[in-house]
Amino acid sequence: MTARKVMLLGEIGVGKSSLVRRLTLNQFDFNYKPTLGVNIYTYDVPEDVLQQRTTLIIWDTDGNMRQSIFRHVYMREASAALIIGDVTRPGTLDVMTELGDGFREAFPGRKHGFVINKSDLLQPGEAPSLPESLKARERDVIITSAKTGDNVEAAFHTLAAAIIRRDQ
Amino acid sequence: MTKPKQAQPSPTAIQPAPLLSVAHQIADRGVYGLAWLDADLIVTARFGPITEAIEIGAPIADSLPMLMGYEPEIKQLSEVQTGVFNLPGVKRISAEREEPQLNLTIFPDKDSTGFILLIGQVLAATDSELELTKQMRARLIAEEEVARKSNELAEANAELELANRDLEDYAAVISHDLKSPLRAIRYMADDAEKAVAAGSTTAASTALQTLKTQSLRMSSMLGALLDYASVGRKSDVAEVIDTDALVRSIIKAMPRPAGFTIAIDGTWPTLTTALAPLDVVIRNLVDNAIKHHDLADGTVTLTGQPVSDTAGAFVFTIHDDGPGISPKNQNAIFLPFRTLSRSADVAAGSGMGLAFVQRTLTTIGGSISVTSDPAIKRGTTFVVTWPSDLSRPE
Repeated sequence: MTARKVMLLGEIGVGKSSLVRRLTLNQFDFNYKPTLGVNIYTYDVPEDVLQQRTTLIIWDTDGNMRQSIFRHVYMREASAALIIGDVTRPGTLDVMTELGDGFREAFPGRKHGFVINKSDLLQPGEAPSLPESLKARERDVIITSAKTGDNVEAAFHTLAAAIIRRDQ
Repeated sequence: MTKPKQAQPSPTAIQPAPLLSVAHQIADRGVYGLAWLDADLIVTARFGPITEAIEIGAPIADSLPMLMGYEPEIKQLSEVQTGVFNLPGVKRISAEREEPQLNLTIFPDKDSTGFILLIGQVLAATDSELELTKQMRARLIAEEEVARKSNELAEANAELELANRDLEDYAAVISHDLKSPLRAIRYMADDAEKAVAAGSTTAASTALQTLKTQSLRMSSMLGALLDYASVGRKSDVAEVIDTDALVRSIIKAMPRPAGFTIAIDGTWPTLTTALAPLDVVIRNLVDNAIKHHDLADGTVTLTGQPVSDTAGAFVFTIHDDGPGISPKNQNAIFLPFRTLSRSADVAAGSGMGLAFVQRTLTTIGGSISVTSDPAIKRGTTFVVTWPSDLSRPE
């Protein structure tokens, strides 16, 4: 079995915990509970997705840490990061690019993906408005809703596949 | 008199038995736990209920997966006996249970080649920290809301400024262009009055007829102004438009002198955009080219260009072989009621076509430029840049 450490990064309140709880526990909590420190979840990627047994150790970090997270003991030996923003808060989308750049600098060659969460709050047919900095990386962006579960598995499976490809 | 010193109990005076008792009591309450690891980080023993999930005989990372990856760093501690590994504030959550938040500390065991893992439960400050974090999140969201409202206000101000400029334009147009028919009406009313006084019904009838014509002209001009003012207030819905089919349908229905040729050239793409403004722009530019041509056998060519991959904008040109527009007049042609072929019998409402075109393009975020110099050669080319989306300009 392969186990890989995945970090969830993003501004406070963007739905990092909601995404991982939807993935691992199939739950959505309407009451906001900020994460202090770090919460650890494990997720076994279905074998048919990657054709091998892979476990993701998912680190759901405290959103207050921002760029200081890259110097923290939590980040050591991370295989990849999922960087999350809130579709209703443009400021959190700008922070995504900064975190992506920080991760790439701190962990050269490691994979990271971008997730824009809370798509359930968009109008039907409405596309999220990406900042210019994120438009250039649009291919790496997945739109999710932790509330409805839309694309949540896809976001983690895509990242897991990228990790495995890199390792091979 | 000096007070005699009382003997203080020395810490070393506390015997191991009470110490062990306290250690047991604290561990029993789940405050902390201990695990002993060998040099390969295999669990050899454990102490305290908080360590019950730790499997003896297995690697510590099997029981505490948050330690996965840190093994080399921990093993290196044995080289520096004073070294300590800290992983603070970690909490494991699974479908079965949500474990308490823990501080993990690992240090070399000076009595062996292995290590001791101290597990401490995070007990204090949790509620206040949670409250602080909640407040911080609320503040961040409020700040973003304020920023968003400020942007909306700035956009509203920009629109207001545009509206004010329009209002000034209208005032100038009304005071200047509408004065002419109004003056004519007044003169014709005077003439009619005089003719009636002189008993000449024929002259009175002629004056009244002219008065009627001028009032109709004024009415038509006011109607055109109202249409002009409404550009940009309509919310145009984007739909898939075959611009080739659109331009061909406009050309087919466009009245023109018998010897006139209208050619379609280049690439006319299929776009997702608003039909009405695109129709207004193409129709008025072609109409303008025909109306202001000085020959009966002119040619107008419409050329579409492929949509750019990067900007996504659609560019098309409308070229005619008419008399051309001198550079000094090129700004004026986009003003309401400005026409360069200003003869006495200019139809009422004319001079608005290019004003409609520019106002429509400004409203949807497009642009237009004109290239012409009659001193060098005949002809005029209008270049229209149609935006990739219909977002209003800031």
